[in-house]
Amino acid sequence: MARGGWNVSTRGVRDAIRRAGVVRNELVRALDNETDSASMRVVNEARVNAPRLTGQLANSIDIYEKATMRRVVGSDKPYAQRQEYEHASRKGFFRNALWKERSVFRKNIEKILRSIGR
Amino acid sequence: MLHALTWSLIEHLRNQVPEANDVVWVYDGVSLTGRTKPFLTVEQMTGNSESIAAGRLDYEDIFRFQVGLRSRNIGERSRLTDVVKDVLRQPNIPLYDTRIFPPTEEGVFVCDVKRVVPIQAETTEDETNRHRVYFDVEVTVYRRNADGLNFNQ
Repeated sequence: MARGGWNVSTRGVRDAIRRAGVVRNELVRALDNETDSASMRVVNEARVNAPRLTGQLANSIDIYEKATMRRVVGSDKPYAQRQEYEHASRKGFFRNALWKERSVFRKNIEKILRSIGR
Repeated sequence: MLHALTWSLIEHLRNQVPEANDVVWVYDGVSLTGRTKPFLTVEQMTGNSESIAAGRLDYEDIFRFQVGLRSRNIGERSRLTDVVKDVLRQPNIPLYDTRIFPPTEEGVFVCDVKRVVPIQAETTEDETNRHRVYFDVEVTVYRRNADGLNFNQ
């Protein structure tokens, strides 16, 4: 179980899914795939940004929970949160990855919603 | 804009959290050792900026701060966590124009408190780092580029 994991999930698309009718499953699958890609991008970016002594912290960053259109990304190391908030030069390594991904994720979701059912 | 927001946030916390002995603006080289607890810290974090209209004139700017609370004991930490959270969520935080001296009140802004994260001390001997908690604070503004302190939220 991740300690203090972050959620990567699609919100506000319920209406679109309800109205999608026959392409509902296709839409859900596309959104779920995008959520998965987004969370993997967060994982990779956070690993690159993470402070390294032994590499254990960077390696521990992963997806810890999966549900439809929802992923929990985090680390199981007890010191991960402390490093995230207080590391001298690399604090925010995780949040930076998440913030960077936010606009990309939002744009990709928009693209999917526009393209589906055409 | 960033300086005005940071200054205003610090001023707001100073005025609204009288229990805190100090509000420290954290940047490179600032030491927290030896300060009288409880005190607060404010630190700039990575922001986001996105063009939201054709012509590259209008932007959504997200300013992020990491507000820290260091307290003397767990009871104080729990009490002050609520106080600080409520203060940060207040709907009308005064925004000061810091381009002039003394800074004058220009308008108001709102903050979002995204997360409240308690951190465990590495060792109990390290008095400075015991009983601390961080607040992830975001200020989202919509504004025209280079338009001073004019913005919408």
